[in-house]
Amino acid sequence: MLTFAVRRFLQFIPTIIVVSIIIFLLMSVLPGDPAFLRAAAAKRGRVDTEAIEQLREKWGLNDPVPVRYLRWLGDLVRGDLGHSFRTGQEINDVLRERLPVTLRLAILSILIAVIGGVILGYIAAIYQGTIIDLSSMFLAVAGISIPEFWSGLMLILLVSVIWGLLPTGGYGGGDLAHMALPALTLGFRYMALIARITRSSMLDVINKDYIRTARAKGLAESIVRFKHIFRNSLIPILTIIGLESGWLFANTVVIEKVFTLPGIGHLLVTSILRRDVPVMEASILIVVLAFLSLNFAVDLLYGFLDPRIRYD
Amino acid sequence: MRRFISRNKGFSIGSLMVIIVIIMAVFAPLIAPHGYAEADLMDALEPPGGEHLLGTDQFGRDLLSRIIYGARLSLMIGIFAQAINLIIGVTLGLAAGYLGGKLDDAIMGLTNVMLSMPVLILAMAVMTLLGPGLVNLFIALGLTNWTYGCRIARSETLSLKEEDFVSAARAIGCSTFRILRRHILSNCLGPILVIATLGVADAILIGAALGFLGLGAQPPQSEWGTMLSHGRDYLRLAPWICTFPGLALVFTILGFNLLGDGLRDFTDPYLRTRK
Repeated sequence: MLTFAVRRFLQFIPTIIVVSIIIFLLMSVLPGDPAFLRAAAAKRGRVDTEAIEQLREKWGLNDPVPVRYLRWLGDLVRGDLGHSFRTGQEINDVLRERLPVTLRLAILSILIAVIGGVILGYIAAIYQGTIIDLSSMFLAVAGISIPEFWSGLMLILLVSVIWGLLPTGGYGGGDLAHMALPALTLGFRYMALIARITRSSMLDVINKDYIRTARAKGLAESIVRFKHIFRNSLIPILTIIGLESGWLFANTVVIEKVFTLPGIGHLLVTSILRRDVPVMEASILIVVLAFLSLNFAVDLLYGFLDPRIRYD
Repeated sequence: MRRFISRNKGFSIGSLMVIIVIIMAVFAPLIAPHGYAEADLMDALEPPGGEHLLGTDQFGRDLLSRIIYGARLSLMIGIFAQAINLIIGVTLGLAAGYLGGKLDDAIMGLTNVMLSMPVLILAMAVMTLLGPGLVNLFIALGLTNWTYGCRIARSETLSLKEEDFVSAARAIGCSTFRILRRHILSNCLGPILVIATLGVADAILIGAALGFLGLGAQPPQSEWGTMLSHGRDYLRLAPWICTFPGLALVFTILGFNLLGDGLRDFTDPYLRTRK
C-alpha cells in the first residue's frame, strides 16, 4: 500500500512538470511588457526608460525563457512563488489570505455534492422506473445543463433579494450564512453527475446473480441493498468524483465572481485582467494541484473499497 | 429508427429544442422585433410586458431581440469550437490507435497532461494570450477540449483495426490514410457524433462562462454570458436582465445534452437493451 502510494505520487511529478512548462510558456509569450506597465503605473503614465530597464533587470526578464523557467521552478520547489508584478506583494502572503476562502468553498461543495448525489442516485436506483426515479433523473440532467453563474444569480435573487434570508455575497469570515449559497451552487452540477453515475452503476449490479443469491438466502433487504448492491457499485462513483472535480475546482473562479468571494479564482481573474503573470501562474498551478491531489486520494481509495484491486 | 424516436422522449424533445434554437439563430433579423444594439436610453430598465416583451437592459436595448441574436453567437461558439476540437482530437486518436508504439505513448501522454488541467482554466489562459474576441474564443475552446474525441477515436480504432475488413484492405494495398478514412473513421462515426453533440453543449457552456468573466465575446455583441455579467449589477433593480438570457442558455444546453444522450442510446445497442 505504502509503496503504491509513493509510486503513484512519483507518477504525478512528470505531469506537474509538463503542466508547469505549458503554463510558463503560455504566460511568457503574453503580449505586453510587465515592466513597462508597472513603470507607467508608478509614474502615472509618464514612462521612464531607465526605470523600465531597472525593473526588467530586477525581475530577470532579460534572461532567455528556459533560464527564467528553471529559476521559477527552483524557487517553486523551495516554496517561493515570487511576487506580484503589479503590487510587489509576496505571492505566498496573498495565497495565505485567499486559499482558505477557496478551500472552504470547494470542500463544502464536494461534501454537499457527494452526499446529495449518492443519496439521490441510490434512491433512484432502488425505485427504478417510478416517479421518484424519473424526477431525480430529471434533476440530474437539469444540473448538468444549468450554468453555475446563472443558478447562482437566481439563488441570490430568490433567497437574498426577495426573501432577504442570506447575504447577497462576500466572505464574512466564512460563516455558513455566507458560504451556503456559493457551495450549493457550485456543488449542484457535480451532485447531478454523481447521482447519474450512482444510479447507473447500481443498476448494473442490481440484476447480478449474487444479489439474487443474497436475497434467496434470506438476508434483510437493507443489508442486500447496502452491503451487496451499494458497496459493489462504488468504484465508478469514485472515478467520476475524481475526474469531474476538475470542473468543480475550475468553476470556483465563476462562483467567486458571482458571490464576490475573495478566493483564488477571484485572484486569477483579476491577475488576468491586470496581466500580472506571476500571480496568474501561481493561481493556475494551485487549481491544477488541487485537482491532482483529489485524484491521488481517489486512487488510494480504490484499493480500500475493492480488495480485488492489488497495488503490486 | 422511427420506433426508436417514438420510444426515446429525451431524443425527440432534445432535437425539437435544438431546432428551435437553430431557427432563432438563422432567422434572427426576421424574428427579432428590434436590433440587438438598438439603444434608447429613454426606455432603459423597462420591465417585461408592453412594447418590450421581455423588458430592456440598462441601455434601453430590447432584451428579447438580444436573446434571439445571442442564439447566433452561442451556436457559432458551440459548433466552430467543437469542429476544431473534433479535427484535432479525432486525428490524434486515429493516429494513436492505428499506428501505436511511440506515437501512441506520446499522444496519450499529451492527453493525460491536458486532462490534468481543467478546460475552463486552460481556455482562460489561452484567451489571455490571444485577447478577447469571438474568433479567439473559437480557437481557445477548440484547442482545449479535444481529449474526449481523441480517447473515443483511439479506443474505437484499437478494436476496429483487428477486424478482417481492415486486414483485407491492407492486403489489397490500401494506403494507411485510405484505411483510416474509409474503413476506420467511417465505422466509428456513431460514437464520435455522440461526443460531438455533447461537446457542443460543453463549448456553449464554457464560452458563456468566459463571457461572464469578461474574457469572451465583447460588447455590444449580445452574447448570453456577457449579458448575465452586466445584468448582475442590476439584480435588485431589474432582475429580468439576468433571468431571461440564462433561461435561453439552459434551454440550448439542455437541448444538446438530451440530443446527445438520445444519440448515445441509439448508437449503442448494448446500452439500449440494458435500459
